[in-house]
Amino acid sequence: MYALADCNNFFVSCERVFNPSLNGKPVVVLSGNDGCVIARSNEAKALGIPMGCPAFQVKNYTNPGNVIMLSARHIVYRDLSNRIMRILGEMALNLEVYSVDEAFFALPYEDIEQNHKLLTSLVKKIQKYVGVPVSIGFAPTRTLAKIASHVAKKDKNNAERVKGLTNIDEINQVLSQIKIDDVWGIGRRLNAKLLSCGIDTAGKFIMLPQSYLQRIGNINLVRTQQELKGIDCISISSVNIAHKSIMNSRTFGHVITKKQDIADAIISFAQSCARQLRQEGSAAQVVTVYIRGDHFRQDLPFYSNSCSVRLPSHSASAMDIAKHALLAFNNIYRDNFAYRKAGVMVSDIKNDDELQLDLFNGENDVRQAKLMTAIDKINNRYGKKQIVLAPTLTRGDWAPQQNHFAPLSKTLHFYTGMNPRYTSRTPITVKYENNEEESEC
Amino acid sequence: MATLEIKKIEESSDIELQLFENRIQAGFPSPAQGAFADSVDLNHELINNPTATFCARVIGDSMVDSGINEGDMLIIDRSIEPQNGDIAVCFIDGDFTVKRLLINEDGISMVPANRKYPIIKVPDDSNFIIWGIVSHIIKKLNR
Repeated sequence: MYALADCNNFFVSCERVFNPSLNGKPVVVLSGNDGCVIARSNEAKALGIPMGCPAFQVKNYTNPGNVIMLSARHIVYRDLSNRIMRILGEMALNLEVYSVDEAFFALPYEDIEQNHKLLTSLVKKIQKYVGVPVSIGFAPTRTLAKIASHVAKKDKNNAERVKGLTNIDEINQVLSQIKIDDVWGIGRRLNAKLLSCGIDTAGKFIMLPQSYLQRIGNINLVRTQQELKGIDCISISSVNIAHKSIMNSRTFGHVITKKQDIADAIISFAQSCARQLRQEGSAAQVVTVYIRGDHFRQDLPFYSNSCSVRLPSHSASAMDIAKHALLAFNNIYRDNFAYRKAGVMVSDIKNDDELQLDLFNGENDVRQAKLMTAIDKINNRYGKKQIVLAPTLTRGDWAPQQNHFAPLSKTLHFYTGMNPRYTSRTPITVKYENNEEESEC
Repeated sequence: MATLEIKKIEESSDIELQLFENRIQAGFPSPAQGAFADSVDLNHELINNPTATFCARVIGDSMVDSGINEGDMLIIDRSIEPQNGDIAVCFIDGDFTVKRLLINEDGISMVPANRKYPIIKVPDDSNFIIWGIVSHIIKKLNR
C-alpha cells in the first residue's frame, strides 16, 4: 500500500505560517523576478486567477488590492519542506521525495483502518509542528494514491484530509469523475491526443485496449493504465532517477549590455549546477549556455543563441563547469545587443558510481574533488556564498527584482532555514524539478 | 497587517563544548571542581524537536520581569501542548506577541511581565493563535 502526501497550496501555506493574518484571504506567490503566479490560496483560486498568470494581469480578476501578492522566498519553503519530509521519514517506509511539496511512501500496515489512523495522526502532527496543511491519499499503487490525495484535497467535508482508495467499486466510481489530465503521467501532449478521441476521464482511459495505448504512447502509458487498475508497476528506481539535466537560468531585473555582467551571471549559474551535481552525487559531461534578448522591447535589436561544449570527462567541479560555460558563452556573445535572460544547463549526467576515473585527468580529478568538498563544507557551515569563484564576488546587476516582501513584524523577528543536516537526519532521496524559478534556492 | 522577517540560520552540530561535572555555584570558585566529564552539543541542549523548533529575536519590553529582554533569542517549540503558566508566542490582532498564558475555566488570558502593560483576556471571537511555546531563551550578557 502506497501513500502520497501533498502540501496544500504549499508556498502560500508557508507564508501563512509566519503571517497568520493572511489566513482566509486571497494570496498569490510570484515567481522570481515577480513574473507570474506560482502558488494560489483557495480564495485566490475562487477568484479565477489561473496558475502562471502574469503578475500584471492579476488585477483583471478582481479589484486591485483585493489580492495579496508576495515574492517567493524559496529558502523558507525549502526549510519547511525539509521539516515535513523528516516528519514523514520518521514513520514512512521508503520515503520518495517527489518534489518540494510531495512525497510517496509505503505504508507499514496491511490493515486499512490502521493505516488511515496513522495517516490522520501524521496530518495533525505536520499541521501542529510545521503549520502547513497536508493532504494524504493511499491506495494499492502510486498513481491511485495520487488520485486519492487529489480527492482528499478537493473534498471540503473531509476534515481529516486523508483518503484511502482501496475498494474496487469505489476506485471505479472515483475514476469515472477524474479528468484525464489529472492522472499522474498523462502530460499535455497525451492529454490532447486522448481528448481528441473522446477519452476525457480516467474511467474511460482504463477501458482502452493495451495495443491502442502502445500505438499512441509508449510503455509508460500502459504502465499508467495498469497502475489505475491497481497493479503496482512503477518501480522505485524509475521514480528516483537522477536528473537528466540540471538548468540554472534567470530573467535579469532589466536588460544587460555589459559582457562582464552576463559572464558573471553565467559563472554563478555554472557554480549552482556544479553544487547541485555534487549534492546528488553525480557529474555531467555537457555544458550548454544560452543567452537571449528581450522579446518585448521592440526598440532593441533581438538576438538569442545557445552553445554546447563537451568536457573531456565527467565533472562536478565548479571550476571545470564554469570554465567550459565561459568558452561556450564567448562563442555566442555578440556586442551591441541587450540581453534579458541567460542560463546554464549541464547534461549527460552520470552517478559517481557509474564513472570511471579518467586515465589522463585522474590525479587532477581527485585533487579538485577534495577542493570542492572543502568548499561545500565551508559554504554549508557559513552560508552559500562564502566561497565563490573570483568573478562572482558581488551579486551583480543581474540580481532579480523582487518587490513584494511582506512588512516586518513589530515584535518578533523569525529565523528559519535550519541546516538540512540538522533537520533531516533520516536519509531521504530528493528529486526537485528544476524549473528556472526554483533553481537559485 | 504585520508579519515576520525570516532570516536564515546556519546551524552546525559539530561544535561540542566541554561540560563541567559540578554545577557552578555562585560562591567561591574552586579550581579543583573543573573536571571535564562530558561534552555538550548546544543544538541537542536547546532543541528537543528539530522539526517543530523555530527561532525568533525579541523586540519590546513586555516580558522583562520574566527575564526576556529586547534582543534575546527565543527557542520556540511548536510540539509542546500549551499549559497554564507557559510562556508562548501568540498571534492576536494581526501581530505576534510573547506573553505568559493564564488558562483557567474563564478561558485564556495573556499575562505580561511588566507592570506597564495590562493583562489581556482573549475574547472568544478573536483571531487568536497560540503559535508555539518558548522552551529556551538565549541571552547575551556582555552587551
